[in-house]
Amino acid sequence: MPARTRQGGLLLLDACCLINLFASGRIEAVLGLLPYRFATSELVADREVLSIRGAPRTSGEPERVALTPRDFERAGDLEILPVTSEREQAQFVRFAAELDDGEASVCALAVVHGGGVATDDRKALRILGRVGAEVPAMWTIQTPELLFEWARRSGAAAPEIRDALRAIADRASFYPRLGVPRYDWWVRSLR
Amino acid sequence: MCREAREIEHPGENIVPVTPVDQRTLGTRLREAREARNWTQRQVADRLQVARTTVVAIEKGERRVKPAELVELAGLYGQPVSDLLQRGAPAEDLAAQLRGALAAAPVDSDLLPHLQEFQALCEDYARLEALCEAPLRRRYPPEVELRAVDPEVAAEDVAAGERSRLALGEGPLLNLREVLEADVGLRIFQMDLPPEAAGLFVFTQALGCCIAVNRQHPPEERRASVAREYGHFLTSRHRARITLAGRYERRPAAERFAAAFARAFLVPAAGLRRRFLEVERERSRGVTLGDLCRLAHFYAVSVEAMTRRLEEVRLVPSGTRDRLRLEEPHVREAQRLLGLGRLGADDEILPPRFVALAVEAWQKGDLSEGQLARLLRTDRLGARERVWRLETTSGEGGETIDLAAPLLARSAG
Repeated sequence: MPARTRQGGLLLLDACCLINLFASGRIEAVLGLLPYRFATSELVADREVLSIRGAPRTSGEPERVALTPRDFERAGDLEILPVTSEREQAQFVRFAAELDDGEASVCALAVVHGGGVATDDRKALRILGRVGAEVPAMWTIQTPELLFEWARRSGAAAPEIRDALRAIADRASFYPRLGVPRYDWWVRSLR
Repeated sequence: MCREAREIEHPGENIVPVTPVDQRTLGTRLREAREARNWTQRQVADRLQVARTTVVAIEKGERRVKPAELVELAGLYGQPVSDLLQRGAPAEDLAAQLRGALAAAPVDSDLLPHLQEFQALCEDYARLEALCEAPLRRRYPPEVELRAVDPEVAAEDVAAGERSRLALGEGPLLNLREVLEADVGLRIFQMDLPPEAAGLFVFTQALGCCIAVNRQHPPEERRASVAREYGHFLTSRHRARITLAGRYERRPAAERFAAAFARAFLVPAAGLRRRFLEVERERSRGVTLGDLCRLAHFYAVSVEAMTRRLEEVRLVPSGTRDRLRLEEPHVREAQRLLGLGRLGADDEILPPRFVALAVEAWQKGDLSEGQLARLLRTDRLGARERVWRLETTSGEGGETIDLAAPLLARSAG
């Protein structure tokens, strides 16, 4: 399913994207600058163990830093939505037959509320692609596109962009797969 | 909380394609989850505000569980909805065998949660193999009949036979776990079991032989436990077993066989004899404690186990163990003085092949990141780190190795 930008629309962040945004060190700027109503599910915010690696240490492995999406909810930058209505629960159970609970809850909310899903997960993207044919109000976006938009809107200089992308690799062990949208930009920006 | 997101209507919503869920399987999983929490069907019915017969029907797969009910039940049982939906049918008689083993084991600790995790590990492994279409090749030897034979003598013989069958020679067997998995087809896990539990063993036709040893025990002991559980498999594979460390006053024949098999399999008599005599020839005053430590280190067994083995093959007089009084601090100091490091600890819960299959399935998009993390018993960052380690990044493009790519194209037909 091609990524479609729905300015001002609801964009549900899956755990994998959320981790990447935290790791970039620019999550506040992304949530503030990009034209979406950012949200995630309660299951992702409260039940998933979300962490990134801390700053490198002189000896030993870097410590892990626990991520707390609720901080951004308090700041008003992120909505955290429960799966409570009958329709949400029905969709959640359908997706949970193929994904984990966090992923399924985000997909279910996007189907019911007609939002986008920010995810880099191949399986989630494939399933959403199948569903997307029947649910036109739903769309997907991936980490490189979010970071590209942040770079464009913030006017960040090349060294800052490089630092953000390197931080995602170093602190979240994430590197985009060949061929995903904005892959070439990602690779160029790291040089 | 205040909900600002409005639900929208769209015609396609109700035809979302999903994997069909077998209600009977789901019912079984719900029953297992309820029993693990020690809830009665009545208690669950009260919480759900339904009749007890409704819970009975759901667990039998006779009544379709509604989404809201499933969400509530999963919450009650502390299990993810996805786990209940995706675990598939339980392996035939696995849970019953493990319950039987638990009833027969005089344990002080609560082993039930560990047995449930063992069951989950075995089933996850089988599920991964099905997903990757890569069944574990089984090369099982025939079962050993222990009637009218001395278990220790039989163990020596069978161990030599197994070494020969698997072309292992007579040297040390350092990669025991990998060898038994790849060459025999055993699934070997390491779990954090209570201290008194050394190993778990179960066999079913569907899953084959599955073993778990206590990750909290020293590496040498774990290796001995793996070999001992393999010994159980050789004599009595159709009965699950919980092996307790040093809890048998009068050991049954199968237990004596398994212990003796482990010693003989890890330290083959012929190889040990040759090595010991070489050392003896070099020493005008006889073999020393240092030599004993070196031999133990060479075969990756404890010094105590090596002394016992030397007594067993009559290279040292019986009673040597008692005379040397091989207390752990004393041995450790001797090893330190000799520069013998501890055995490189393989602390992985999961067999390397399990991890490789999981990563392969994730690379193909058959598992999501969340599913991968759950299978690897870690969080998302931990799962990414495992993938990162298995994939080789190279150059600025960060191109990765696709573990699922066949090396050679197979011709059609």
